[in-house]
Amino acid sequence: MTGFGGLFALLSPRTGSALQLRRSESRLRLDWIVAAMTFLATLALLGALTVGKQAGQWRDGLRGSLTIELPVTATADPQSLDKVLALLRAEPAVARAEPLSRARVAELLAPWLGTAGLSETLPVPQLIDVALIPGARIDAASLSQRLAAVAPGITVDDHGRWLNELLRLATLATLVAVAIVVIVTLAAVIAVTLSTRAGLALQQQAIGLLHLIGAEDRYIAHEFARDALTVGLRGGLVGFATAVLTIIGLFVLGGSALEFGLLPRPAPGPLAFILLTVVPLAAAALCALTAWVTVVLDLRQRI
Amino acid sequence: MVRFENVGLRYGLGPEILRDIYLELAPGSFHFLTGPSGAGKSSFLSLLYLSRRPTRGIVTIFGRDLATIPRAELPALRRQIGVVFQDFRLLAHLSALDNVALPLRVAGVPEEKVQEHVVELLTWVGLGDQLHAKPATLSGGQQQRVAIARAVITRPRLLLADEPTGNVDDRIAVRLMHLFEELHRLGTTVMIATHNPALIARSRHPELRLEAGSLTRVARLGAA
Ligand SMILES: Nc1ncnc2c1ncn2[C@@H]1O[C@H](COP(=O)(O)OP(=O)(O)OP(=O)(O)O)[C@@H](O)[C@H]1O
Ligand SMILES: [Mg+2]
Repeated sequence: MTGFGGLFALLSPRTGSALQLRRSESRLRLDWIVAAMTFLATLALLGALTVGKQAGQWRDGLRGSLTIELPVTATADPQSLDKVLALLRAEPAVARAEPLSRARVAELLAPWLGTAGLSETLPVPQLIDVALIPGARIDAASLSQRLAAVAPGITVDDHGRWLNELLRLATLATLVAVAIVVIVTLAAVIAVTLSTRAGLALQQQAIGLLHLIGAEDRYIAHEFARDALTVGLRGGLVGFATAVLTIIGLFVLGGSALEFGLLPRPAPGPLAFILLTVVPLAAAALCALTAWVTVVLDLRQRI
Repeated sequence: MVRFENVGLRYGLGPEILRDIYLELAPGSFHFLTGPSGAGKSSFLSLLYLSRRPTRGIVTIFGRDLATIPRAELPALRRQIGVVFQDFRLLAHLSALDNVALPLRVAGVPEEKVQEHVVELLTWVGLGDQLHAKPATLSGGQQQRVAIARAVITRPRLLLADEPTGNVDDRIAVRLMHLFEELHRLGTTVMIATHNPALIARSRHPELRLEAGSLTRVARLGAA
């Protein structure tokens, strides 16, 4: 089998097929096995793609910003806020520095303190939202030192720690997905190999005859590969469709179960679905290739 | 074409079925192979159609030593050999037409040609109205004719037939012999294993007799 040409040739019908593979008892319900494998692989990859995309968005959103918190004690001095703002606006990397209104702070605190509104007397820290010039970076530690000169106790948060956690999570999700795909691929290869070996044993007489009338191993391998391709395609499409329906069902029906707090809810984009159509096709190709190799290796040992 | 030198064959640890066989078949020759049941005729033919290798001695076919032919080159050689197996070995799930077409398809002959040749040949052997019948629904003699058609469809250089007229009446036997004669006239080397003395008596071709493991040429009395 030579690459795609060979794969393509498998799709063209062959008249008077010499081997009766479709009706073999050996079928092992291979189509269902492939369907289950494709289902798992699709879900795993979709999960990884979604988390990866979301992590990227969060990262881009957070990288260009800082949150600066003046402790309650510093707020007592009305001058310190202006001094801090002036210092910040003088930084070359800073595009914008705006203090958050008391109302906005209350909004952010609502999940913890309730929506009843802040009591007038409750002291809240003053938050400053800093946007950086796109692409510019700023060293949070040294900035924090300089600001502390005018407002002791001030903290500068570049979301670095949180961001790292997030990216680690995304990497982990990708690794898990890759592991699942590898395991599922191995399992599928084993299943196809066993099924093909059983088919070879059952068709021994016909194969012997084919050899005697001058069939090359390729001819016989082609029959097995084509059968595996059909089975793989059927199983792959069923598994893929089930996975897509599962995801859609999860987002439509179980939407509220997927809240992510203040963050936007991650959702697989249409691009992910398009990319993943590769999965059932790859599953079918894998089945065909495995069957092909199994047959050729087996026949090579005969006279 | 075919050469046997000091050939012996045994199955597993059993006795030698064939012993010290020397034979040379000239290209374009025609031989009958006779001998009692169990003498080893089918085993002998199986060496010729490259189904097994001898346990000793040298078999040369088309100038190639059987022991040294790489596996990858066997299909090309086998395509030049037509075989009528004693037990037919038709594929049960294929129609007569598809069974006969198999050697051509395996060799990659275009489908239009396949259809044309196969239908013509099956009609010639009297099965023109059974093209799509499965072997199970054919009589023994009809199956045998399908097997013969499959063996000759490629116009092989070497034709080996194991009891090809065992299941047909005399009229059809004569017709089938005509088919073999025709191939022979076109240059095919033919060897027919048979128990049928009438078949041999009707023709002028030499007879090889296999008995107790040894192969001998039978002197033909009154033959031209
Ligand atoms: N595959 C095999 N394994 C073991 N022994 C075998 C095998 N095939 C044939 N034999 C033995 O070899 C001997 C010769 O058998 P073979 O079939 O060649 O005889 P034959 O001359 O064709 O007989 P018939 O005229 O009945 O067809 C027999 O004793 C048979 O038992
Ligand atoms: Mg026999």
